[in-house]
Amino acid sequence: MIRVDFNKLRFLVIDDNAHMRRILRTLLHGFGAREVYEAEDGAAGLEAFTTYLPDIVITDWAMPIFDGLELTAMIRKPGANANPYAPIIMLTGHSEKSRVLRARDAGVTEFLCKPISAKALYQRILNVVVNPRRFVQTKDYFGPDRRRSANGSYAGPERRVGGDVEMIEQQPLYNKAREAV
Amino acid sequence: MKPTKPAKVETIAHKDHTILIPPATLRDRAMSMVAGDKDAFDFSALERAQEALAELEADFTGWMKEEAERLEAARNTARATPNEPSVRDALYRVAHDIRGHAETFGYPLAGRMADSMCDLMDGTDDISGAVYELIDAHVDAIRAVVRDNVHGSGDDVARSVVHELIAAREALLGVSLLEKIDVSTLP
Repeated sequence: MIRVDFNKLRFLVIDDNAHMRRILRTLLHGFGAREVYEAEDGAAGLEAFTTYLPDIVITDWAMPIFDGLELTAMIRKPGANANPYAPIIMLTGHSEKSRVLRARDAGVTEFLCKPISAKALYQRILNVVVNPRRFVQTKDYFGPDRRRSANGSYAGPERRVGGDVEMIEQQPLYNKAREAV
Repeated sequence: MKPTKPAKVETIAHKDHTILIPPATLRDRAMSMVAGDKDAFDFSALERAQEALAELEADFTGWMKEEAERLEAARNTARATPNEPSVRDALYRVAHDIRGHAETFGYPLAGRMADSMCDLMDGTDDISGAVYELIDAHVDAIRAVVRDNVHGSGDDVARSVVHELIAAREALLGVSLLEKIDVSTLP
């Protein structure tokens, strides 16, 4: 049986709402995590990211000072901090397509739409642990490879040139993690 | 636990992009095989978290009341200068919080009202005048749902208020063109 030991992972939760931070902390501790750091806005979140070097970041989008999208851009800025590859799970009440795609293009790893559930959060964490994403760097993007479908049916404009188009192989564990919960 | 050190990243250079493959540090450290079906995941941690969340539920009604009070305070602050960016942002963030939390706290209809209020504020740059009056109506409706403890989605009066608020928003700003999606379906 495959087990993910949450007590071996360090989390950073960034949300300006104290109730949501309490819910997330409760869930993560329930999963078995022992190291859960918290910040209440994007600026404090970036400072905590630099200080604690979390393995996984869970951030809200709408926050004062700078928001989750700006925070993601700062974490993903190559050379700006110790781990620009850290998985970022964006927790958002936004479900408008344009906003969701904007967040994806900023470099978030996974989305978690509110209302939150233990199952959805667990699924996202399994995904980032069991199936780490490759990253892509272009002149205007640095972040997780947005093509993670295995079926080769990408139908959008081909923006990558240079011979072999890089299709990311979908690992069997990825399907298990997504479908099992 | 020692801080995570940056590990070596494999790179594959292409003409206009580079693929970077960070090592599977988290998988190596946190994933293990235990006795049982080798193809199955151990979900005991999920069950423990669900139990822990259930223990919090006793606090949810109080939290929802706090959120409604924050919304009213933000609305009152916005009354004189609704288009002041900091004031407007603060009001939007509270409505946005309620949109995200209300269902978790047991008030899904308040969540739908807050969703409509966010769509209203997303739909225009000027929230004074008639728009502010409609924002007022949304805030009052959310407060009424919380005050009267309208849990769940079954209350006919509250449901009709949700539809009236959405209809009023669409009459004022036009039918929303904001396409909403299920993010779990993203590639």
